[in-house]
Amino acid sequence: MAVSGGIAYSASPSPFSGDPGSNADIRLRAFDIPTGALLWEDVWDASTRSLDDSVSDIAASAGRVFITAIGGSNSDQPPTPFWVVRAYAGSSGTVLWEDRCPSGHASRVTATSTWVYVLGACSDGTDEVARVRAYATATGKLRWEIRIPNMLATNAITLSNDRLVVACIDTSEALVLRAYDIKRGKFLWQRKPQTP
Amino acid sequence: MNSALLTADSRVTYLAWSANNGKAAVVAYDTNTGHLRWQSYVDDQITDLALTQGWLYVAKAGGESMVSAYAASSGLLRWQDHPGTPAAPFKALALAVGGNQLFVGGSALHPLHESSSNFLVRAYTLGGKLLWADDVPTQALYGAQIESIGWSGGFAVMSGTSGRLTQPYYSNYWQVQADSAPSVRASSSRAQSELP
Repeated sequence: MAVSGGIAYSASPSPFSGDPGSNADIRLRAFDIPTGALLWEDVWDASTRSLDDSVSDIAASAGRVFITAIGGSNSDQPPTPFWVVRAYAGSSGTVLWEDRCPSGHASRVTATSTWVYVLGACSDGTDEVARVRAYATATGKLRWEIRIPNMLATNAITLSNDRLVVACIDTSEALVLRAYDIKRGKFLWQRKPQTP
Repeated sequence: MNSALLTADSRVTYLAWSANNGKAAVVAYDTNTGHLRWQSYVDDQITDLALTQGWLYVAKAGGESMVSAYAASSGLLRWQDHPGTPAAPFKALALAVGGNQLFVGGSALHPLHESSSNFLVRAYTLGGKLLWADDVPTQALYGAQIESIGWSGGFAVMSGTSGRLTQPYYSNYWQVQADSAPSVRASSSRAQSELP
């Protein structure tokens, strides 16, 4: 769930998932917070196939709402997840833009009023590689992309002034923190926290 | 590695993570340089982080304490709350701050009054004084819990599973709820929506 401008945006898979016969789609609903009135609803078949889709993260900023989804898994078929991020107009539910990458996942999203940053992994023809993509919030135009090689999983993303920090798991199964310059995506530093 | 969470202000990035050995840590890094500022180890699973006005709040599940508050600059533990008992466990899954309050969302089980957990919201002053709680036992059979919480204009807004199953899919209903959030000790009022 994300909250912005007096509206709560709630996303959940529906009607059910994790079953051989399931075909869950993503149901995004916008509620007026003081009254609880449903303002709009969108049912999104992210995989466009008879497979379960689920929401991995949601963010809202400056009248827009952004969803990252894990599309394309089911309990009786081999999973074929892919990277997908979608932007909506917060007041109407109109789809503003969408970006996809075959094979992979988009796991986390964070946004400012002008840029939205997505952490995940996708394949560009070879192996899946972790990456961060920075998009213009209004148009979805790609500002830059960071590739983060040798990572098994992508866990968290945050913004700190003009820095972007991500947490990933590397191929030795260690947690890695990496920081980047937010304007150009330039790498700044990396840390591996001590195991507690 | 089980999970990693990040939050940040303009100068410091805060990481919370759980290792495979069941231990967890909260670590603060200077965002510009990557230098370690402080770290603190905890025994419970960490489920969320929130940062405001020099406080770093940590939500926890599965242990004795439900929320801990640290001085963000030093890592000193300032207060924590542990309303549950082994027989009546409380679990925190989400945090939000707003209106000079901390909101903790999760679940509580009161075995004398219910057979599965109910929605739980507790609102504190930033210094740790409990202002109000929404902790109503449920008749649902399958466990209700808040998975996300936010704040907007005097309302705490939360979403999660209601503990009732839809027919014919046997999927847990999704509940979105808003509680008015008075900044003095008082009972809150509530509006909610339960949807498949």
